[in-house]
Amino acid sequence: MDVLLRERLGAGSQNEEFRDRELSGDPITIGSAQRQMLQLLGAGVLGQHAAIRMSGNDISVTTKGRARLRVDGRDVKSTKLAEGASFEIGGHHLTRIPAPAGFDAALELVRNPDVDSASFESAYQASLSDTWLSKRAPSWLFLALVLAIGLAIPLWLVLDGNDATPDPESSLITDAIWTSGPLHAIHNQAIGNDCQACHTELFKRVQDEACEACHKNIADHVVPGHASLAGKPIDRCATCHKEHNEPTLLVITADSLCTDCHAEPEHLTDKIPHMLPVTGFNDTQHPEFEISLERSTKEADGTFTWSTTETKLAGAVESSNLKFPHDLHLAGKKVTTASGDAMVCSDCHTLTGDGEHFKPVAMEEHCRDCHELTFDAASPGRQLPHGQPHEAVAIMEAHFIRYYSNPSSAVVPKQRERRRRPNQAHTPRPVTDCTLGATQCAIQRTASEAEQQFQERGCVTCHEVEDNGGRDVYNRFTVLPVKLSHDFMPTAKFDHHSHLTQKDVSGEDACLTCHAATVSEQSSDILIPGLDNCTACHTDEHGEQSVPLDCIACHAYHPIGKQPLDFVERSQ
Amino acid sequence: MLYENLLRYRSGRYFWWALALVAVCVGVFVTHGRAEPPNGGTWQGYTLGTIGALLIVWLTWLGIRKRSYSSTAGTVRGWTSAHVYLGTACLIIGSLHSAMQFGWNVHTFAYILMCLVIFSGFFGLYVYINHPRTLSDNRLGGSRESLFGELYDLNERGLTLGRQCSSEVQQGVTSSIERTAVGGGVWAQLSARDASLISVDGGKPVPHPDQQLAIDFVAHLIPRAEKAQEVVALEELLSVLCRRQTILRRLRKDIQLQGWMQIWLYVHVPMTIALIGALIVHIITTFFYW
Repeated sequence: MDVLLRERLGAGSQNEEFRDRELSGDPITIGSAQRQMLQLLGAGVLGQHAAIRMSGNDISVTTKGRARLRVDGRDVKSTKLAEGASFEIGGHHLTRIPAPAGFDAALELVRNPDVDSASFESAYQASLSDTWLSKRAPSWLFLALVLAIGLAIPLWLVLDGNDATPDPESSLITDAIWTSGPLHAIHNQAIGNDCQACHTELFKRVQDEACEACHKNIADHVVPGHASLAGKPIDRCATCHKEHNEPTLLVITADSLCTDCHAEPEHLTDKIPHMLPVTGFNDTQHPEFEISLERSTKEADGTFTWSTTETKLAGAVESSNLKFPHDLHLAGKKVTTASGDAMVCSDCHTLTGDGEHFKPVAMEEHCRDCHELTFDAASPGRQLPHGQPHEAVAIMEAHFIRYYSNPSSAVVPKQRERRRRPNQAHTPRPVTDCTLGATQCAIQRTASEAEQQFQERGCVTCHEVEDNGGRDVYNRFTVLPVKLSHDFMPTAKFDHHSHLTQKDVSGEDACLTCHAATVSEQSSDILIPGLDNCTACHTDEHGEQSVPLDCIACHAYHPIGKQPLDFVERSQ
Repeated sequence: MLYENLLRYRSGRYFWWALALVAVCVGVFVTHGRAEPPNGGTWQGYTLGTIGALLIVWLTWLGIRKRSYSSTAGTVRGWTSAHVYLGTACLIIGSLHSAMQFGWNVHTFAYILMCLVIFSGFFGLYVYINHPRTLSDNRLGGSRESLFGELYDLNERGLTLGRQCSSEVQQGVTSSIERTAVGGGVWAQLSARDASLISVDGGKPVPHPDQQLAIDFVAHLIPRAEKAQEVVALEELLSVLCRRQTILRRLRKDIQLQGWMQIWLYVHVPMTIALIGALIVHIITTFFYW
């Protein structure tokens, strides 16, 4: 459409004049922005204020957004413009006048005389606040989005019940976004994003029942709810076992978890009166070691029973009923193995798979290569059975009956050079020619040889033997039973394997840095090292010359088996 | 004055406050020991989190304080100085609280929002320190209002002078003045892009950057004018158009500088509100699944 715009300048004055110009377009746009076809300035004019359209002979003016037209003293959104009709935008008057030839319409404009430089600035978008940018709207929008996505939607899914909770795989927004860190790989595999497997109730810490739902075979250190736990931090599994951390560490190793209670053991139990306070690991804060020792007692019926006693390491004496001088066996080439090498610890002590304990030392496997059980020099191939004293006497007796019943044995055998025990004077026995008959001779010879075996050179070399002096050779001697301690510290853990490599030493020599075997003359010596031996390298502190150890490096919290430690239960 | 002294307010008093606060927080953090990886759930973590959250709320309150000119609780300058230093400290305290454990969760989201707020604040600090002098130099000591006032007067004079010349000149000058663009959209303001148009001979408007076409057009006509009166009018018109060019350049530069001094707030403020929301979510969900 072509519109003639006739602007009246100096309206009502003597210098009134008209200025014509042509506006072409459909629609004709009016506003304060410079791209508008008709630019009107002033406070009441928006950038894009209105548009003039024509259909047939009718002209209509419609506004945009919150812009308004003033028609006959009223604000309207749009108006139809008949000839002679007028409207107002921001004080500027526009009146439809008859169109001259060649124009579709004509408008007369009288500009608002009050528009001056002050309102001029507002015609332009000269500040970011004039643009679409806003602080308030996005603030509310973001706040609403954050609260909805972060809180409301996941919470709704949680409160709506487990059945309605969408599959975590198929839903982006679940309570999984509340996680504060990854789960341990095992928990992640077993639980995944099912937060409520452990977090059963809102605002409530993870309860032990949630752990015990899967961990059915674990016993607590103490009876839950025991009086000694009042005010102590260890009240839930999660006190020590914290999830959602990086690096993933399911066991908190803080010593305080132990020492909070064990600093004052008198409050814990009265069943262990010698329980000593522990506040750390060094020479002063940790008590001296105690060890378990086996002791045998002879019952009235002559049998022996073994019992375990705990005793302080210092001054402890082992009563295994075995005679074994470690120093002699480790004295270089004095005692060698079958291959001629000097003996070393591992010839007898073999670590088991746990790296802590050793396979039992056995006569047959570890001693017999050197310590044969022969009894007759004329028959060096015959040996006595080990661990069966009665059987040994019977074998000797049968052997000598056969010997004396054999006519070719009439010649008295030359007495062989007896094997001597160290430091024992050699007292050769007189050679006698027995004439009492085969049986009697054999009995005499057996009695004599049994005396040798049980008292001078055989069993007695390694065993404690009781002699009741009786005439019945079968019942005269009692070899006291042997029991070597398998575990001197059954409630502590120690990794022998890792300690085989130490500063400056490794292998067999490493054994000897802790176990003083080379100077141990008696098997009653306890070769378990004391606390100071450990603290030479380890304390609970980080230090240049210290490898830090926490309580659980040596001590287990959960007892083996399903029952809590019973001493606590008894003291309730 | 506000900008120059922001960092040196009272000899950097709040720098030392912030430094002391950070030192205390680092001191708390290092007590974590080796028993448990440092995290937000230890007593140290809760302490650092509480300090950080209170700090964020207090820093947000500055936005309210700035609008309340009647308040007597300290000067805006002091508050802003404290806001800058303690806001920066928040970055460290928040990082210590998180113990740099990040993941796809609401907690890391709050941390990211905090970083967005703080780094947008750094940008704001940069423009507040650098732009005011340039702004003041550009205005030659005047104000934007006076620049617009002069432009308005030049426009009126230009239109009046244009009417005294040939219709060709009048049409060109009128369209050049009416279709002069100042400011505009966000990018137009920030880039000082000139979107002015001019319609020559009543034709379609064409781009008219820096008003150069109109100036060249009038200058071209002066030696060709036949009447002395027309020459006078054209010369005066040329002088008006050249002055307009200068004023428009200053105005665009003014709008550009002001724009950069404001644009960061359109990130800083909404992100702060979002951060408050994220902080609420962070705290509540922490105790939902304690």
